[in-house]
Amino acid sequence: MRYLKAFLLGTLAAASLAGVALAAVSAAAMSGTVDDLRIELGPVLFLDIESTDAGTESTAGPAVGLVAVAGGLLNASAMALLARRRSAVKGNER
Amino acid sequence: MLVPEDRLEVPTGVVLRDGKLEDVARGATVAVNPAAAVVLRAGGRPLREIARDLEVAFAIDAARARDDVLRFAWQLNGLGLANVRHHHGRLWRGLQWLRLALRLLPSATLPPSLTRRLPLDTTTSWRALAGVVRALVGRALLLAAVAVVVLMPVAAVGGARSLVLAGALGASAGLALIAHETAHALALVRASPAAIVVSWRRISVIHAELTPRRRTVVAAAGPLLPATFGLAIAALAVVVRLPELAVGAAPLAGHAVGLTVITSDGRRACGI
Repeated sequence: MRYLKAFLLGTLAAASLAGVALAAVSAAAMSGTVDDLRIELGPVLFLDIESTDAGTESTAGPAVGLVAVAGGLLNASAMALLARRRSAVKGNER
Repeated sequence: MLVPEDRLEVPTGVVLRDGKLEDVARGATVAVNPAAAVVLRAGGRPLREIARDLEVAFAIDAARARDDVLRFAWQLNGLGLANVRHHHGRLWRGLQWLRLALRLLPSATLPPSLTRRLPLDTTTSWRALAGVVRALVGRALLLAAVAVVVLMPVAAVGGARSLVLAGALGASAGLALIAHETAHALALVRASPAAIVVSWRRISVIHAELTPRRRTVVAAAGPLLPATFGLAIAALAVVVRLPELAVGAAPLAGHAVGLTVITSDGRRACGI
């Protein structure tokens, strides 16, 4: 249960941070500060901004989800590490 | 800084009863020895005078009585069980702090800071909100001002829009602080009595032992509320096509880090 909690909270944290970063870049693109832009994590799309005559189109790719899941996994791993270290300290105290 | 002319005050929610010190917010009781009871009962008088009382009552020398009283006052204050009413003004204390900081420089440590415990009424949401705002509005304004002052030299180069952005970042940092602690307090409404303990480096909402589920909710609520505000403002920035607004929301959204085990809120939310 603890690991699930840590995973979900880490996912939420990473998704929030990625979401704000995406929003900032998208807003910049739509206001005309940034023209065409494509951000990829290897083969996976993070953000694609395309300016056409009709306007600016901004697309968030599946990399956002991957970043969120990676954040969750990282948090769960860090929690496991901390829990192990704490139980080792308790064992030494006994 | 704590000097013998300062006075110790037992804050609201801390009661000395039958030789025990009761912390209503934490729901905890600490047994105190007769000397500690003398110090606590004499609350409101200068520490120097209390030391003199101890010297007479326990037949100990003046230096030891003074050291014991000061040490005990530090300990109580560190636990959020006593506030300190300063004899000297802010400027004098600031200079003394600087002097001590310089002396401690070789050991790369900062002088310890005193805490201040403030009441937080969690019987209704409005009272909880009012309690947090009353306790932290000064700190939030200071944080906002410091953020603006730090960013101003960079922003000045970028023109008017950058100056507005610096202002937005400052306001967002101050608002995030209030939102964070308010969320903790709201999650505690009707669940536990509480108090806010503020020190130079840290702000804590203290409360009684909770069920694991409630503990997770209380711990996660703090970072979650400002992060949600940050996301909402960032989404609004996309709609109104104002990138500065999204950047201004960064201090709010940054509180999302508080959901991870890097921070004490995140560790408590995960149950470790």
